[in-house]
Amino acid sequence: MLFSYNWLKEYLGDNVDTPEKISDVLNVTSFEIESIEEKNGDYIFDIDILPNRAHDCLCHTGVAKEIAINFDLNFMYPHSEKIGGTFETHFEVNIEDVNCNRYMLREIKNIEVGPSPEELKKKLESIGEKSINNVVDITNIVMFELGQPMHAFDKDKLDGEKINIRLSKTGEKITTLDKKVVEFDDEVLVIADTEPLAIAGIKGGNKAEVDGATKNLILESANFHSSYIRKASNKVSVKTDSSKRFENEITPELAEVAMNRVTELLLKYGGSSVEVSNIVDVYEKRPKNNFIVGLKKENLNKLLGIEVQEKDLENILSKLEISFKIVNPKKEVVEIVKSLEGKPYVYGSSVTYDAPDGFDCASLFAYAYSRVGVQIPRMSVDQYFYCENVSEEELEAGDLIFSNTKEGGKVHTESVEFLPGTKCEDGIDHVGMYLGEGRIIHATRQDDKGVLIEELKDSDRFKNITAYGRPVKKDEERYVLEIPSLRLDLRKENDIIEEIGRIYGYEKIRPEPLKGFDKVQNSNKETVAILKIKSELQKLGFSEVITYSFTKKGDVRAIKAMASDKQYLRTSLEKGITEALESGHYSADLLNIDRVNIFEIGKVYPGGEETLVLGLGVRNKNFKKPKASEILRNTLESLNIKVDIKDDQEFVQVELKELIENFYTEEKIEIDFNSEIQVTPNSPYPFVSRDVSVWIPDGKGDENTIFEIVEKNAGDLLKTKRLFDVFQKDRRTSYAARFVFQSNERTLNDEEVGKIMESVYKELKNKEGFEIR
Amino acid sequence: MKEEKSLPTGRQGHLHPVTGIINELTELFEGMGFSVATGPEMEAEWHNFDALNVPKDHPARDMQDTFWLDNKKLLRTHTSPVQIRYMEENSVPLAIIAPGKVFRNETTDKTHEAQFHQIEGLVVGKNISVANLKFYLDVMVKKLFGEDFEIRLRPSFFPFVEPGFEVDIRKEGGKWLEILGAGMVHSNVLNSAGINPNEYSGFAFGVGVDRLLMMKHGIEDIRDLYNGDLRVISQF
Repeated sequence: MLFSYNWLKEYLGDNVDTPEKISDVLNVTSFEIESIEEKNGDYIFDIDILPNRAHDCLCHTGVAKEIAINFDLNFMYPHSEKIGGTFETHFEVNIEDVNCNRYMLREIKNIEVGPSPEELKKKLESIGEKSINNVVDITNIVMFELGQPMHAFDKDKLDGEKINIRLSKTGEKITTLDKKVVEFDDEVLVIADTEPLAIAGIKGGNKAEVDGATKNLILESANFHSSYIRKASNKVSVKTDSSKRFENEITPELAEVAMNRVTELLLKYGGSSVEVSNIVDVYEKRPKNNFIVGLKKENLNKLLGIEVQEKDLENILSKLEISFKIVNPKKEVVEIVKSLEGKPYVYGSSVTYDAPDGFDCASLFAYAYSRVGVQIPRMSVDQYFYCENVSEEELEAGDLIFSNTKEGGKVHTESVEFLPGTKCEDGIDHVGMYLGEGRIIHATRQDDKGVLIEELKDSDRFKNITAYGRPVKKDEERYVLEIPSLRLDLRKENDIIEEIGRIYGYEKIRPEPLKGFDKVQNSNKETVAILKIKSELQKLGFSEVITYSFTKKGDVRAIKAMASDKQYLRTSLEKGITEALESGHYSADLLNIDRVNIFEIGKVYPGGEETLVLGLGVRNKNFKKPKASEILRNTLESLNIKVDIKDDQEFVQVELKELIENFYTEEKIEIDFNSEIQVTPNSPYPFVSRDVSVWIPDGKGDENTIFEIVEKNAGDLLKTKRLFDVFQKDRRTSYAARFVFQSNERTLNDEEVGKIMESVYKELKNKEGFEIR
Repeated sequence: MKEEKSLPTGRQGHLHPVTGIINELTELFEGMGFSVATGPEMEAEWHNFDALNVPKDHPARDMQDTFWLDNKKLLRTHTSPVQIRYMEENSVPLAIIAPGKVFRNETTDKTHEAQFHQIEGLVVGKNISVANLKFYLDVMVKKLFGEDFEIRLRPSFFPFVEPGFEVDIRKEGGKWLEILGAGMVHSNVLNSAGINPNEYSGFAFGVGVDRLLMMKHGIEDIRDLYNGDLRVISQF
């Protein structure tokens, strides 16, 4: 996303560092800065906001806060205090679907719609957005400022006084603001009066578009479920700044802040007679408490490998606007649980939305422990696996007691989420907390008792105890952190550790080797054997290729393939190796080889089974003999692999599974590989080869005489040179050499190469006793 | 320029640079107590995504990134499923290095291929920390690029680690270049593999082998590694 330096400064005061300095620091503590561009007296950052920070940082205040944290600046919130209305709107909001988390509506009267003043235009244009009119611009500015998508409807274009958030009907259509017609099935949420006005959270429609004639508005500040928006925006193929923000999940709390901020700006820029109504707010699932996360300093230090001081840790928490206290969880949890006595039993009740007004057996303790910074699993069986096992004698207040009531309810015998699959033979269907002195507290549906304190020995539901468990030790202390609502990414202790780590500075962590990892646990036979085979083949003159796993035909198909000839997984290496033989044959002169010997070891998928195979390919270039089939035969024989080879064969494939044992060796395999070279890039242009044969009198020179002359005349165009034939007769020697010419910039033509060769021959002839053959 | 002195008989062949660099790294890590681990290229959704804390509606699961197959499996998009398989089959403490071929359904160009190679490192045990991760990354980078190279960690996000890092390298005083992703194994991943995150922690890193080769050896076009053309391979 693009961010304006001047805009960011609005929240930071005048002591802001240079854009370069900000970029350097944010890069290592927050986000990658892709670029900075100087533009019209401003600097525009292109910042790659990380997916887990898209909740709070796809907006200028989010990034400004990051700068404030890193540079110890005071972050100043934009003015957005609650603005009350001067009249009551008649509009109603009707939410029919769970994917709308919150819908706020406000009516605005007597707005003057027109071009935005320069200051607003400049803001939008700085980050590459078009100015439309003051109303639309203000909703957009607030989105780029706070991260909350907003929408304004022209009230007088609406039918009736009811806004419905409902599922579309099959065949319903909308024309969006950019004149695209979108047809719905029955799964897309729309904002509608008598017909769709907008694709909820994604894009507005043109029916109630705000234009120059608009006098009255209906403002929307809403919140939609993230995964729903992602699905819906894929379905209707519309991606917008709005859908992007909802997809990444933003807190419904933000809707209110943004509504007030938009109101404030409309009052400022919307003309002198603007009147605002009360806010209609439908927000059913409002969390009852701020989210709490516990943090043990010891865990922070252990995971990062540092020794952070309490004072530094607390300083970082304050910068993050995280309020904290240090508690002894076990002491406090008992008090909290006791205070919940008498609350009703609600099966499957939510810790976030229902607590502390109703509980089932496990949610009571998940809730109570979460309030003291200990996140135990939600289900009783998982709570059992989370806890340290203790004996009846060791039992202390705050420990949990698990039982199998055998009352016919669902009994769990294995962990569901905490350590999925791990078994607990005795079974668990109920949990209570020990309060000391023989008393227990638990939430029970029995006789509508709800949260109940009783004597453990008298409790019907603890007649058959499975285990005693300890979620936390007695004298342990930890930080209990209250997470700001915007920070949906901070939900677990490790989220907090990451947050503290990056601000503390990863560069301060000193590298430290592991202890006790000196011995290799398992030797991977397959890997060793494969390397051995590769090394043997290399010694036998074979080069290794890795070719594509996709082909035109096969038994397993990729559902969305790259191309029609790459739809299937290969069933054999033959195609890849044959193509490599062809290309090797073509460039043989350039490669300075007379025969192409290649192999590949890779996976093929005949009949849908992943199979490891070795493929060998041989093709002669300059040799006639031995034939390719003979090379294959000899090669396999020296590897001790028995396969029949036909006379015209140039490819063979063998399954490796059976051969692994044969090739496995305990000694270390040294391979011949140049790990230091710098590669000369391939020229995209064709090459030209020329042979030269010369008689040279003994003592008057050798092949190097020829090489030197060719090198001198061809310069950079000479790619390879090779002596391929030598024989002696009558005190002179015949040297035959092949030269390959190629340019990296152009296609060499015969004429150009001809000229070089002409000069070469001329020079050779001029040497005493030399004779061109 | 290539030059052959002798007549061309009995010449050695060339190993593919992917084999060469993978061997260099596995040797290095085996020397430090890591075991080599491998896994299938055709994977189950569970190992490639769910167990790695990539939930069902995560954008990385979109059709354009993953080769979904008509047998309900997929081509692994990273070597990270090997982590899960190894953790499921072995007990902690463990240290592995897992090289292999991976696939992404992307348009190919000079720096992108639909198939490429990764090396995954994973350590799980008691009190494993970022400081440990830094040590091994530093050793690896110095071995590959030279003693005068250094690393830095920047915050990043991968669903299967937390904290997550982007790792940059540079020659002392030079420009930082992004080279790999790493982090501390996410507690949800440990949970999925049946390892209690209250007792154990771990680090993981995943490095693109092809990118390393390109940086180290000046290879300009990744496709030269997979088109069966011997011109680049023969230089090694």
